[in-house]
Amino acid sequence: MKIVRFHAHGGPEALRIEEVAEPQPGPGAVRVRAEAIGVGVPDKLMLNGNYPWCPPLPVIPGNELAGTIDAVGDGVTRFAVGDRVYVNARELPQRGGGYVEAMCVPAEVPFALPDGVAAEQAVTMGNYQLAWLLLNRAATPQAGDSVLVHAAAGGAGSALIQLARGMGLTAFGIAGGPDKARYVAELGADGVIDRSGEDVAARVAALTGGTGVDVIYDSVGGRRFQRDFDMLAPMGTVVLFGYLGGHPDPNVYDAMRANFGKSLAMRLFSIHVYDDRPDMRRHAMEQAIAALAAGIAAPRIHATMPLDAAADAIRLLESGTVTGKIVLTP
Amino acid sequence: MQIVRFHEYGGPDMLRVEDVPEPEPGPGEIRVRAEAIGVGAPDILVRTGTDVKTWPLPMTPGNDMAGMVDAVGPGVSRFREGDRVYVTSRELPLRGGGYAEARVVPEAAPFAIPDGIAADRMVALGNYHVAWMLLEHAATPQPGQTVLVHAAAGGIGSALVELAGLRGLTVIGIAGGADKAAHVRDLGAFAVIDRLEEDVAERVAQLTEGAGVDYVYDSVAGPGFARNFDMLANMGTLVQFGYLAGRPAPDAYAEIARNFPRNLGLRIFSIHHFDDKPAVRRAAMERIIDMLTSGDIAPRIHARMKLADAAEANRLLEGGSVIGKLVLVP
Repeated sequence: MKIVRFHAHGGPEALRIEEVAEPQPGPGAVRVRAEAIGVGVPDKLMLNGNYPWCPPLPVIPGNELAGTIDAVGDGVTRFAVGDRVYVNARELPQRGGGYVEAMCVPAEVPFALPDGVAAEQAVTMGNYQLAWLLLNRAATPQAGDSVLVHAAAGGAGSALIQLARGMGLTAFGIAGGPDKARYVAELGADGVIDRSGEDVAARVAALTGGTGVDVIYDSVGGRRFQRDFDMLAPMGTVVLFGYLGGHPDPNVYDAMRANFGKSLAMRLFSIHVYDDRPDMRRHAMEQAIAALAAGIAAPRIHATMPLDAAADAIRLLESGTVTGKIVLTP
Repeated sequence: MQIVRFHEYGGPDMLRVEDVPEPEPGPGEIRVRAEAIGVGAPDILVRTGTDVKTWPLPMTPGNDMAGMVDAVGPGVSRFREGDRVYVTSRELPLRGGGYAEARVVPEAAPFAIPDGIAADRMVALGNYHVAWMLLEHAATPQPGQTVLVHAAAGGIGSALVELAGLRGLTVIGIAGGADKAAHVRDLGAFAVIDRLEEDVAERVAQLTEGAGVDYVYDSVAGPGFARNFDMLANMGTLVQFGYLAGRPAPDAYAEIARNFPRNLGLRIFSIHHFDDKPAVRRAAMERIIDMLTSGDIAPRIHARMKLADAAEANRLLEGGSVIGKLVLVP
């Protein structure tokens, strides 16, 4: 069967299409034949050598695969041949492994897909799982509260907008450029700020009647991070969960205290905190899949490409113009 | 009548006992004749000019007074002469004003004292009020979670230990010296760490079997601030609300990032957050008064001193050996 992997870190050109023997499920394992494989930022980080949780070389990237079980090993009771499932590498001892025509995993790993859920939609669930944890664990905004999402046209950002709306929150999104801003509006955001043409802080003040927002979800960080505190409502919280713009200035204490009396908070968040908590992780994923079945999560697919074109898919991802999921099909 | 005030910032010697004309209540105002006046840490902050806000001079310190209404102005309907009331300056436009034989306040400001409650107990309630806000708003620890309280023998610290225990939290208190440690134990703490005798972080690790605590409440800060992050459990939150040992190093982000991916949070809390939220503020105080009446909380009185000895009382408080409320009586 066909797989895509790299033997040395590098750019998209380091990805090689290879032929290997089809894996056979051992006792307690199932084989999942891929219908859709998700392409995500961690794939690129792994490839570039910037991913702390990258398995040893050679590496097959890809943390998300959805398809149908076509073989089961001895003793498997949880699934049968023909079941449609979603595999997320967060449930495996090592990340990656998804750029393949088929993979074998322990039977307790996959998530069952509800009827009517398309495989290409299922492979976006990693972002919704993260978004669910951000909205329910990293901070706990309540119905009626407002949230501001940086990079709202991105994978996690767009999931945040949709799940926040589903929870009865007022969701504002920040996007770079008119195309992405339009996309965020289509996701259902209550307000969109195009940072390429607008003053973000002034727009947040206008959108909230000067009060600010209750929670900011920031995956950008960087030098401008301190400005988040000026856009928070009293008792507000900034959740920093990514570093697209680099690490912030370490001196956040003074920025927080500059808003003294507003009693502000910040939290750093990474889903890796749950690496040894499968119960928490799986619960979040089940909530995400339920949101998909209920139509609250309505992922957009940016492009569907053949597995052979994985290098092009990574190039497309790097272009920064993607609005929605890039999906590979075998 | 006698008042105690300062005309310039400085030590306890700046406090002068002065005679001023008795204030008369105007329309909508009442006069409260003091039976007990609380002495607290904010009295020192305002006198030394180190409070977070600056107040006009000369200033009469004292944020807590309990006594009897002995004059009412025109149009007053809420209280009448002979009613016993508690005045906290959090209900007034300016803090302080309590070191006086009598004071005039708007009739909306005081809280009625339930029958049978001593005035000196009432003036300890300001501390419980802050503790309540810390447990209800600054963070929301849930039954079964673990909290670590710095300066647990102090006014707010003691109140935190009591209120946290009532909420079903596991409370670890930090105290300086055997007497204070014994007091914290009496308050019902699960464990007490005597910071003069024991390594705090080591003991916290021991007591939590290496997991750390879910919340740290820190009113001390200063050079030991950064160690708080090492004592937090995954997803833990540090709530900092005071500066007994001075300002911490401002690179809080670096400390949080150093603990990646443990997902730590920091909130900097001030009771001034509630300055413009009278409904929430008053509801919290009413709950505290109910708890005092029912015997759920039992504020301890350290000593009663004459109002004219306010300077001595301030020296005593600054000495750091006070356990319980210092009360002035006219």
